[in-house]
Amino acid sequence: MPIKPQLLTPDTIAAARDLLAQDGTAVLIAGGQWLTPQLRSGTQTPEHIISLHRVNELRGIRQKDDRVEIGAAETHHAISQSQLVQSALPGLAQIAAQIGDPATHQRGTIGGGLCAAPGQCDYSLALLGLDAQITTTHRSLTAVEFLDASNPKTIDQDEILISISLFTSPRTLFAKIPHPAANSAAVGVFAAELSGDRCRLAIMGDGVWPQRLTDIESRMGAWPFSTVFDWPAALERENPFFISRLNALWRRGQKDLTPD
Amino acid sequence: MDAYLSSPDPSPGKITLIVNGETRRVAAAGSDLLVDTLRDKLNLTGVHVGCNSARCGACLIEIDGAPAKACTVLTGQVEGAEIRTVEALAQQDQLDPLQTAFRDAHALQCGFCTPGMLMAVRTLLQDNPNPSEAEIRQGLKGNLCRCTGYQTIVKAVQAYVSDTSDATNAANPDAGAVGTSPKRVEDARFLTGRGQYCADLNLASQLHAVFVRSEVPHARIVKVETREAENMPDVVAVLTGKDVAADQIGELRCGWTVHSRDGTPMQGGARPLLAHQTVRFVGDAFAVVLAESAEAARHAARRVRLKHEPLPHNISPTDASTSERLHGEAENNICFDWQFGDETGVEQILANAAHVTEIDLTNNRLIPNALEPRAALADYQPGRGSSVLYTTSQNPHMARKVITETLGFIDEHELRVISPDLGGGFGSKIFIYPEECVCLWASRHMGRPVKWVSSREEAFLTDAHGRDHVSTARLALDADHNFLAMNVETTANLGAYLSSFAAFVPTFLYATMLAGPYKTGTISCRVQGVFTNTAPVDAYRGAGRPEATYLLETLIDQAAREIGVDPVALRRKNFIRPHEFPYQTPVALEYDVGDYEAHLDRAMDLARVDTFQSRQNEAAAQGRLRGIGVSCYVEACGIAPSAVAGALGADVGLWESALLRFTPSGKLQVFTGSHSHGQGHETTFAQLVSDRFCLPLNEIAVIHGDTDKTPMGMGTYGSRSLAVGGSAILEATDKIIEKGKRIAAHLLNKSVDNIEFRDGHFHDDARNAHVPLQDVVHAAYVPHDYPLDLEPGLEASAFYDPINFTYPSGTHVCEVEIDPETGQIDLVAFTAVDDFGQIINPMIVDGQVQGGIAQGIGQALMEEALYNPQTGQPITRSYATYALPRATDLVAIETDTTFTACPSNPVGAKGCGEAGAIGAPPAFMNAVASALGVRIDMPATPEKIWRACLKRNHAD
Ligand SMILES: Cc1cc2nc3c(=O)[nH]c(=O)nc-3n(C[C@H](O)[C@H](O)[C@@H](O)COP(=O)(O)OP(=O)(O)OC[C@H]3O[C@@H](n4cnc5c(N)ncnc54)[C@H](O)[C@@H]3O)c2cc1C
Ligand code: FES
Ligand code: FES
Repeated sequence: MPIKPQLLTPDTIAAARDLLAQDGTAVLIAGGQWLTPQLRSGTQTPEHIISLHRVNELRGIRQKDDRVEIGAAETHHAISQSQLVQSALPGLAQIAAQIGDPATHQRGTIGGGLCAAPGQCDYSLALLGLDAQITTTHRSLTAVEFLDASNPKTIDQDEILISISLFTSPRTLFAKIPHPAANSAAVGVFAAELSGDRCRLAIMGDGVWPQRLTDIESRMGAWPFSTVFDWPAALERENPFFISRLNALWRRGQKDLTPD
Repeated sequence: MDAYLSSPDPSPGKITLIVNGETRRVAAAGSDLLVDTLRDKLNLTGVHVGCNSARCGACLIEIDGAPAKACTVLTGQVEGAEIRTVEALAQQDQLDPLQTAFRDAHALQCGFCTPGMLMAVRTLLQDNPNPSEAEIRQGLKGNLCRCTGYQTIVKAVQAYVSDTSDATNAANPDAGAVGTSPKRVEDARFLTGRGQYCADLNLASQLHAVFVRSEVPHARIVKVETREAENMPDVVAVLTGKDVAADQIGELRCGWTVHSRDGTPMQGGARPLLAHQTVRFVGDAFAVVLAESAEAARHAARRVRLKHEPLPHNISPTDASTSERLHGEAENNICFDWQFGDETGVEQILANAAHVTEIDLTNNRLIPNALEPRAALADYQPGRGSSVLYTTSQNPHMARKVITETLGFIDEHELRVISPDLGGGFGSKIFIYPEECVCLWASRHMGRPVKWVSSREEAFLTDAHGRDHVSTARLALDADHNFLAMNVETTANLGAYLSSFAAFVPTFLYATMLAGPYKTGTISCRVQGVFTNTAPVDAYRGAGRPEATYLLETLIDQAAREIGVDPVALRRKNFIRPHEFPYQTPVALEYDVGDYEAHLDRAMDLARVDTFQSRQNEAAAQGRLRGIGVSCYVEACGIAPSAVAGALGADVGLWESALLRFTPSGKLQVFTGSHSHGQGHETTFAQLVSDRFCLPLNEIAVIHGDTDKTPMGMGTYGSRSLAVGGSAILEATDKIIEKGKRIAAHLLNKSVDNIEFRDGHFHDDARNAHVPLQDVVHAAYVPHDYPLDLEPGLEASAFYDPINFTYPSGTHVCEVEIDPETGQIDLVAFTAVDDFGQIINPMIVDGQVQGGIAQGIGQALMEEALYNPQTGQPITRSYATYALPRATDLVAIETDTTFTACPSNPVGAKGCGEAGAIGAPPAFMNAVASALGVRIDMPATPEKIWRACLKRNHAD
């Protein structure tokens, strides 16, 4: 068994997909912020590493009707700086802006984050809150399917995440308390008003898998939403600390939205 | 697949990189981490590896102008991209303006984080040429610095941006006077990426060692299966504990013997170099793989299997006595049950006192986290008397002694230990660990040099941890609030083995500090040292003294709350007064000097304690709880009078040495037995002699860290380098001057009694004649016209054994603000006023204080080594799980000093390296308690704070 993996640098999705299919140990690398420590520590020992940095098809942020489609290999930096995201999906721009330290922010990608650990990826909030559709080489999933707590759809070894398409909504709320070491959300909340008066509310955090709170969505009122409501009783019982922080974040975030 | 190979050449492949403006063809694999390619193939060793897991920023470089951690990039991903490393910044020897700003603001100590920090600042300023302080801190969030506390780095950036660098003395190499702050001699090499750390060194034909470590907390070894690993490519050998035992290699032992209250010596804790029969904690090494590359060794290490029978494990010090025994000799896992002071007397007073305050508290386990991981490079040369061990050691001579004694096959005089530039230590690099011994043993076994570099995960698992005490303390006060007596009972978690100083730290370094700055009548202290299935625990910055101070200062605040008096007034009332020195404490030490009210008063002023109420009200109006906390401390530094150390159980003396050598051209070499790993000895020690000889700093070289060059030394810890090592230097200086006087007397045709040395000249005042030092040096080496009874040459050595400890003291004041709904806590202000006696270089002292405070705040705010009690698995084993203070967690810290002259050594210095780590935790936690109205244990995590707030609301 050769110990050094080979780096392959395809320039199309199709080529990358073929390469993946040829070697069951092969892994993809995008920004490398999550994968490289695994390679170094030997947690992952692929024979081939397939870099996505030349695959332009995985880039791009574009408007498609009432949705914005984001290529899986777009970086946190590009997403947070995009004029289109800032105006059409300000909540997503805020999430992206707070991910990582400056270097990880520059190199890490939305696709990498979602494939590596969707449960700890801050974008999961926006996926749920903006009714995202996730397109891979193999299938198309809704955010709710992708992040189904009881049956999360992890991206398979031979599958490539291509893009994420989210409903535009300038009416969003995002707030996060970062984990003191890991930086991803220890408490995160995201709300959006979508067209047709549909509201979305998603939460995640330390020990709390990203989830939509559909019960509350019907009661939270139109943007800038209502100040108070009851959080799920079960969560409150199991994790009162989380709920208290969530509550504070929500109230303050909501207050910030309301013009004095 | 070939069409998509990152480089068209067949393996090993040539990759074209554009590095620092040059196009380079590199024989690297596309999948090699860029950090390895830059370091190993292009020799750009200014790119440091602190974690190899994207979390420390030591490897930060620019790729196409954007910041990137080189450990997260594969070489083949950046073909054709423009890469810039720290090596590109300086032109020849000319620092660029940002580097200059760093040097002038003292923004670096050990220098290990510095290259990454510089690159981070550059990329930050590209996007935002005029950042606010908050933006600077945010921009540096990805770069850990364990030494500086970040404030000086922030200042450097501000000065650079506003073009107001403090270049005082920088351009003037003459300015070296004691009490001034010349820029550091060592900075130029650190700023340009030319520091030489152990991992930067390589020897021809070296093998790479990777240790195989237990993944279970406690087990009997049945068999170590090595076959599969041995057959892997490039693997040369896999050695196990059995091989060590077969070579009759000894075990590592603690260098300090403590006796239990019943008079028996401490039991158990010897550590085999590789576990042979039992593994005792997760991380315990039982085999080592030797291979042609580190990568091959890492891969093979994962194929070595441990067949074992699990044993019950325990990680909690308070459950140790009822758990499975770790060491046969140590019944109930008790290593020692030690008692100090008049227990019966104390109990009597406690029983009859007007008021008794009692607290239970823990002192949380910490992981030192010097940014440079440990490393070793061993080259055994049989029969040549010149075997070399490069290692990350704070005390190379001690390392040489213990390693040769343990190994047995090599004697002290045959081994040269070199400790090159060190990326921080904080205690963790004092100790003798198995790994460096194994490297030397394996080098003999294989007949080749052996190199090992710890990963960050190994550092988390195996660097000696700090603190981990569980205590109960009672303080008796009379009706006038005088402290009458104190009783302390502590269980100290020693971990799975006894590390080099492990028995000393929670006993003599701890109990003797329990008097603090107060006149407590009598004190008794009982300490049980216990074994658990956790990493060994030993001295970490402060070592025993932070534990004592935290306990005492917490107890006093609690007493003040209970009896309803101002905690500051209670302290003041019980202070030892200036006229009462020398003061014999009830816990053995005799304090030589101090003025505690002086720093208390100054700290109250600086921290604007009188107006705190209005700040608290303002915060309350916004629903936030603001608290203020004070702590006062005395520490014993300048370790230590050897006779005292011996009486207390030390196996060694604790003197220090110096050798001063004038070269024939009149330049001065200062060889010191102490070691610098960020403290700037190359500057302060040079200042000491510069001052005496009136020599410019650039004509003095301070040499340390090499047992073949420097005289015997005991190393750097316990804030001893200047007080003890500096004193040795001054004594050697005196010897040189004495000899110089005889030469001068001859040259001036006068009796030596008439000669005086000052201003760099030997004077005969009666005749108004003088000879410059340089003429005397010349005469010493060209003794044509020279006293007949005097040997030529001008060098002198001295050993200095202190007559007493030194006793720095200080007052620290902290303000915090708490958000009761989220439990988030912000440090808002910190003030430190310390008395360090004579200060040689105020800039460096301030840096030491800042850095110590940052570590102290880290302990109080966020740091805690955690093990899962059910599984015995360490939870905190990376920077994604163990929170270290980052630039965004800290604020500007205000410092000042007061002065009492230290009579106990010729320098007059007391030591400053540990003060911050001692004073900060209680100040911080007293501030938290003041905000909450109740005490919580460290670290003050949001969840603990939130729970305390909840309780408070229920109580209301
Ligand atoms: C210092 C630091 C701070 C961080 N802070 C945050 C934070 O605040 N919030 C947060 O949510 N996260 C945070 N993270 C996690 C970070 O978001 C993720 O690591 C993300 O950036 C990884 O993206 P990447 O492109 O670097 O992934 P890579 O490491 O390249 O890949 C990650 C995994 O995804 C796979 N993969 C990548 N792209 C694809 C694709 N297109 N299709 C299929 N599989 C793919 C890879 O094979 C790999 O298994 C942080 C990480 C670090 C190191
Ligand atoms: S971030 Fe690369 S070594 Fe730590
Ligand atoms: S100077 Fe920053 S880690 Fe030492």
